[in-house]
Amino acid sequence: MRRQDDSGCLEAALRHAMPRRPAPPGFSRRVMRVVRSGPRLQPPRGRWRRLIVPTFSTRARWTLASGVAAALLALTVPVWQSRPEPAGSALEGSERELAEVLHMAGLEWNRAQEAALSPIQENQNEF
Amino acid sequence: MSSRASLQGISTGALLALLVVGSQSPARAQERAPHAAPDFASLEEKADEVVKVNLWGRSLDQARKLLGLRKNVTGPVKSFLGGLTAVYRRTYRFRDAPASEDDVEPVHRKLAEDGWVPLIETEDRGKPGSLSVYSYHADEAVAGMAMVSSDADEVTVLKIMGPVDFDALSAIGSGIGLPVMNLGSTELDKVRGVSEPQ
Repeated sequence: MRRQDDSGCLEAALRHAMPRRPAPPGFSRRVMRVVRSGPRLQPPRGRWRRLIVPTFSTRARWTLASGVAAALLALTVPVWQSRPEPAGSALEGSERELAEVLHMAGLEWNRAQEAALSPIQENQNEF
Repeated sequence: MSSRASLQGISTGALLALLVVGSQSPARAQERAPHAAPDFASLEEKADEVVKVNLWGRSLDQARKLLGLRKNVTGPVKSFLGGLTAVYRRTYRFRDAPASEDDVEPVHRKLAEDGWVPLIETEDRGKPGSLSVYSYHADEAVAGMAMVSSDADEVTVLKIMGPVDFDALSAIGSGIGLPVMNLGSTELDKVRGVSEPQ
């Protein structure tokens, strides 16, 4: 036996029978809101859609979605801005380190040369 | 029969290849030893502070390219930078227990074992500390230099691999050829204080 979705027909019949009357016993406000909101050709698919679509109106859904997007942006933008720039800083660091090591080596080399040459110069001055 | 013979030939060849590779690996390791990063476990254990700089491969390429693009870099310094293959620095600082000659001796021994030749060794009897400059030769050309400077509170080992232009190095030490970068280094000030006559 094939399952048939007749929720659309049921809604249409209910809408026709009681357009603006108070909800009969057993019908919650949410169900009545769905019934009165207009024809639904197909029920929403998916767990979250089934939860969100009957609960919020279209405008509320858009407001909710934009709010969520704004919250995500507000969270991600500061994090993205505060993150360090690894490539640039690493490059600058390696350049600085290279310059520093070469400066140190140059200074030490000059010091060693001076130390090695000073006795010779002293001897030459003696002659 | 022919397939078995070819299999035997292949296995013999593979065995020979393994033997050749095995016999070459220690030689290769010995060749590579001077190029290895200078690490001294005993000094590292005793030191209160250790500074390590390893520049080789891509990091060195990028560093020397950036440095070469700066103003006031002279031609000899540029060619000296272009020949570098690796730059290492190890600085061991001692606060409580000063470094002794016995602590520095393994550094000199390791460099000698790796084929480094002492070029200049200076020691002032009036002051503690020493400075040694080593060079490494490959195919009768200078292929690297190492420096070991030590005093009571600091031991520094520098290793520069590649053809070394000593004139360019001397110019860099005199503040010529490389741009004056904002090197807020206490070591540089210290070395400058020692080298400059007062």
